Amino acid sequence: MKPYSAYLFRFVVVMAIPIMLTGCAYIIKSSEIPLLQTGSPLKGISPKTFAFKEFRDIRWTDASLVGQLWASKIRLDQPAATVVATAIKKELERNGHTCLVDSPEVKANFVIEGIVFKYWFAIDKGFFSVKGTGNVAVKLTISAVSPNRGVLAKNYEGEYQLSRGGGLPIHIEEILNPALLAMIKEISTDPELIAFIEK
Amino acid sequence: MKSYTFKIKKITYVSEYLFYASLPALLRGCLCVCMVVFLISCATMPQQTYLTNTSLAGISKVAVVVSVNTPEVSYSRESSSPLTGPLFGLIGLAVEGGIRSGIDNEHAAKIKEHVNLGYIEDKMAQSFIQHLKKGGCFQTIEYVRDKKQDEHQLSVAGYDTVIKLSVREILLNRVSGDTVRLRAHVSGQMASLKSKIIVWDREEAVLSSELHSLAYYKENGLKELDAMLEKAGKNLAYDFIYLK
Repeated sequence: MKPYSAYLFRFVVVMAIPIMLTGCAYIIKSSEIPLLQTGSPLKGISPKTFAFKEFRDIRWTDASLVGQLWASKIRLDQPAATVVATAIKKELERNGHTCLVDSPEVKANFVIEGIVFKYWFAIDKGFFSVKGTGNVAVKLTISAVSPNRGVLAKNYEGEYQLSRGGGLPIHIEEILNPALLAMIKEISTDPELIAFIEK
Repeated sequence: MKSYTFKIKKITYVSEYLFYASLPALLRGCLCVCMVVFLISCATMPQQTYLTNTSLAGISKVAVVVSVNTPEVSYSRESSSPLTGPLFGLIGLAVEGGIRSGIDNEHAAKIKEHVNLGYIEDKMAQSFIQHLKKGGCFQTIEYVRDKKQDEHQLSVAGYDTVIKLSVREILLNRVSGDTVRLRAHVSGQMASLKSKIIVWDREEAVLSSELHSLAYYKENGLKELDAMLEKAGKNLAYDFIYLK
């Protein structure tokens, strides 16, 4: 009869091989980016309608690329500008507002334009540890449709750092998704933006 | 005459074929530990617990307790030489790591001279309580400075729940060249004093928008920390004011 440890070892190997082969995906699924669940003062504002213009990406020509690990290019499954716009829409909708695609027929309270200028990660590998940093940033321009109510243009940035020791790997989603959510939280809790929408 | 019997082992698993038959026990054990570590590393990040509409039912008197850890510096540690490992091996790396850590501790000691931990605790509590009061979340909310009071004593004093805020990390870490960024990591937890159930467990990371040299912080202290704690306290309070 084989020792118990042999069965345990066999089980661990069978479990680990598929994860090793499939676990380090090169495409980040944007559908798996969670919603924020924290409280936001956007919820305290009477419901508004936001018309979204197409967001631009000024990082580099490849719109879905977020970094490189050795020879592997890490990409999002959609352009970074789309991922950022979708995340902002979801946050506004979570707090009771309506988001539409901008067109001449659409009647909205505000028009939102965005320029994504950061959506990347960096991995610093030390001998004993590894540190990952994710950065996402956007310049938002929010224009009130009613005349004389002005325009708010502001940069928002989210950063997330994660360190691990003992040779444990860092998955890119573990740093990029929280960085995106950190940026969304900056938008969602910005007193200047809240005051602009509220007035 | 000796007779030899050869048992043919029925191989049922690929893994058994690959590893079991040929590897010595020690190596097998090491591999097993590595794979378990790998599997654990694939696990998701610790989940936070968010408030729902029913979380605050029946709570009227709340105690707020704050704790803070001393500031840390990660400046020299982030500039380790890439040649140390290849030239001096593990021992060299360990020695270099120790030296750099010592240098960072000296930097941190200089900065601590300008930092009053009691003030940071008070600032954190004020920011959080002020926003909660504005939001009218609870009938009574009080800052309990005496950390010796345990949960039983708080319960006897009439509190329904305790909110523990912790400034877990105040860190200056190198961004590039000589510049460092100030970060603070604050956590908040609310547990019922009767049922002991944790109904809210959150983490909040705040970054300074300004970058300065380490020398600047050694001379002036952690100037932006006030604004950062104000922001962290406000963001945590929003969870109570704007329930999901």
